[in-house]
Amino acid sequence: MEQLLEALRNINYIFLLAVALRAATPIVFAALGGIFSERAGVVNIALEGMMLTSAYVSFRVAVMAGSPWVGLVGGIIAAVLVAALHAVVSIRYRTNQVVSGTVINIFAAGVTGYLYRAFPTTASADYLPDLFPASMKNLPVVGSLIFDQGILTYAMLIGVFLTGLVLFRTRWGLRTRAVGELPRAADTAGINVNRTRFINVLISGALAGLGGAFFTLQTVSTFSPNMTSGQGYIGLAAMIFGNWNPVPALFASLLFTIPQALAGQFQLFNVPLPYQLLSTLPYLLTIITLAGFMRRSTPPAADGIPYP
Amino acid sequence: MSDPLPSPEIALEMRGITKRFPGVLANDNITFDLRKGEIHALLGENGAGKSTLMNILYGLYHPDQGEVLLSGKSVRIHGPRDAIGLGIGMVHQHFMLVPPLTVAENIVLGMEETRGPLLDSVTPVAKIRKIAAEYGLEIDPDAKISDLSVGLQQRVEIVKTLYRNARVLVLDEPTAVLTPQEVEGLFITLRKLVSEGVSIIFISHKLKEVMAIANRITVLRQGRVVGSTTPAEADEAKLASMMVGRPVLLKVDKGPAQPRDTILSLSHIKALSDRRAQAVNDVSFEVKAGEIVGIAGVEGNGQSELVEVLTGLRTPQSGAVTIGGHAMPNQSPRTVIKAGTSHIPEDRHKYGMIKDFPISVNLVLSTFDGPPFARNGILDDATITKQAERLIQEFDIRTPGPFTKIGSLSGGNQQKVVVAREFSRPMKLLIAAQPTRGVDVGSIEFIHKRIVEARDKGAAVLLVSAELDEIMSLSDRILVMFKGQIVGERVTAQTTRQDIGLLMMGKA
Repeated sequence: MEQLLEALRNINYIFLLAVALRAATPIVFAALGGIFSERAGVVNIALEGMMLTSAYVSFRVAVMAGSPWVGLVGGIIAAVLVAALHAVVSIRYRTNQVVSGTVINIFAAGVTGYLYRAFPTTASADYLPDLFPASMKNLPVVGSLIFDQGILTYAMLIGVFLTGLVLFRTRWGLRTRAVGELPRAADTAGINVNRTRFINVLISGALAGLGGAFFTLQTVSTFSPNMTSGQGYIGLAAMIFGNWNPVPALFASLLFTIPQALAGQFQLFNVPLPYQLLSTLPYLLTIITLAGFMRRSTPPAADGIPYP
Repeated sequence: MSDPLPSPEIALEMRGITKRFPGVLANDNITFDLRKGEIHALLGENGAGKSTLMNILYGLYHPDQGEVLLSGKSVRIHGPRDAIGLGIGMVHQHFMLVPPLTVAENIVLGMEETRGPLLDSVTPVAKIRKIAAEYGLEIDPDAKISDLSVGLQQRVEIVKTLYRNARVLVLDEPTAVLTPQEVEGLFITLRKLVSEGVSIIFISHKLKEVMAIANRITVLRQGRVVGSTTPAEADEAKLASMMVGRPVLLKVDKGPAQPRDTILSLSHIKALSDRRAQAVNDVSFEVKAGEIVGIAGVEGNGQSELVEVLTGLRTPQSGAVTIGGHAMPNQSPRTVIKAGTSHIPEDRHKYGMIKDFPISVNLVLSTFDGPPFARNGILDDATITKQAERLIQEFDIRTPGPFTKIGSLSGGNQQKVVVAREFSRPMKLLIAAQPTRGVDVGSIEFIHKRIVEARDKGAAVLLVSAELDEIMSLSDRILVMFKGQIVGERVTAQTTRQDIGLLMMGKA
């Protein structure tokens, strides 16, 4: 108990927040992807598989091309292709979208795991470059939070802003919301419902691609099987928790990653709480969110329903 | 009454339209024209082909044969976008408005104006205000659709078509969801629109309204044009027989009620809707044996939830229900049925039938588990079939046989199956919710007669209907429901449609 209080006194909370923000990067990308897809009316639990695919492909391409930027582009393209598969199956062939998503996730885990083991490598990918010079990272107080983030974390924050802007202030966003709420109304207004849905699913794939590249181009520089470890699902929980809105989804994501960061700090201060227990918190929170808040949240009315 | 035809100029013509669906000839060589500045009513029963014809005009369906001419020129309409471009606007029976979006967002949807990459939210609002002023259609562009009454939502739909410069306006059953006062308001709007040169197609199955608003009336039956007439030349009885193909009894024949013991009694019932809103708020009333009590009200004022509480489908928050002296709330639907309750549910597809099961099985859905239809847990097919044959005859259900899937019957015949099943049990209480929805005039007549018969045999009848005519012609007493509460009670013989209409809007 004493150690716990001691730790709570000594933790650098700014640093804690910096860690949590970093860890939230793929979760927020998945949440944003989910927002585009589901606001248009397509349930997308395949985000996990899209992220894993991107993590694998961006790693391989980055190594082969010798450039993390090329790797990033490769990862995004791969995730968009997986998204296209989900879009074709669930929009064109009207398959149950949860089933399609689940199959894609299992498939992605199997294929990337197999390919990684079948072609073993000791090479590592170069990290994406830093955005700010080292001197700024060492600025007192906020240096670590604001200037010591990977480039994809900044991209994620811009993504949150742009998602809100596109969704609520542009023609595309208005049509997307209409298509996800009452597709017949959009149809009679002369909007191509399924084309709008298709493109939004591709957008969600691109965002998942960015989230997947985070693992191999910003965090560990190599691939390991199943390395996304369910963060796509946590992203969906954050999306629900944030009521399909980008900024609340960002905060919801932090709610999941702050306990994780706290667990790391406790370990540092030798708090006698099992680290494993604290690490389960994000997952526990996901379950509680889905079970508890799902009822109070209002998903887009036509979410998951094929049209016509 | 109607004005003389305003102009001989033809705004729109549909020539020889034929449309087949698998097994159905929905439109059979239909020819129809609309003059400029005219209100032309398309009258017909459900399934007569009105909606198909209009969906062809709006590009939602493509005709197998025939052509559409606008101002004398043949046009091809491949989709709603083409129709909008040609100045055709449509107000659908189920509004095409996205509830969480604002009025302005709904109106501009599909033809948004932009400034750079962003939506222009200024120009459309100004244009909406201009249209509103010009046609007397006041509307707040920033209001959310979900906060508006049905009447106002319809106004938004009309403004939406005008915003798209519609010169031909199609209204599909526009009065179905309105109170009598709102209907008056709509008619004023429509007259204003035609005086500005808009031409209107008014689709309806309500004779009174057609007589009141139309310049010309074209009647459809089974996909064909039966004839065209004007309100001056026709009367309601003539229109009804054109619609149905035989003379129809428009008035329900019933003697005075002879109420006896109280069968149904509710006190202080409160219940939430699925969306956790206070749907039923402290409702108390009684229904006696031998009387029909009607619950009037615009749909969505808690009637559905109230019926669900009474039939055991929804758990109330508080309050008491007794049926025939037995305390009921929180009982299973089964217990409610066993207490002598028959229930015609408002949505037969959801609660009244199993669409892929044969008629014979649908007729014993509430009684199959005991004698004579089951012995020792085994169904007795012979008895079930015999029962089906008897009820098919008695209730005049038009079907190839007892083993036909109920889903393949017409709406009227499906409803007759539901009615037959519910009437085949000993009945103390009948709860009839929207008993004639989506049912042809012939079947309406039949079902109404049966409901009155049930009353005369001593059943207590609770009728819930959004059709004010149905409430007025069947009920002995009328309760009006508004925002979850009973806001008024009237004896039918001592009230008027206008009076009830005011109560339905919460103004009394």
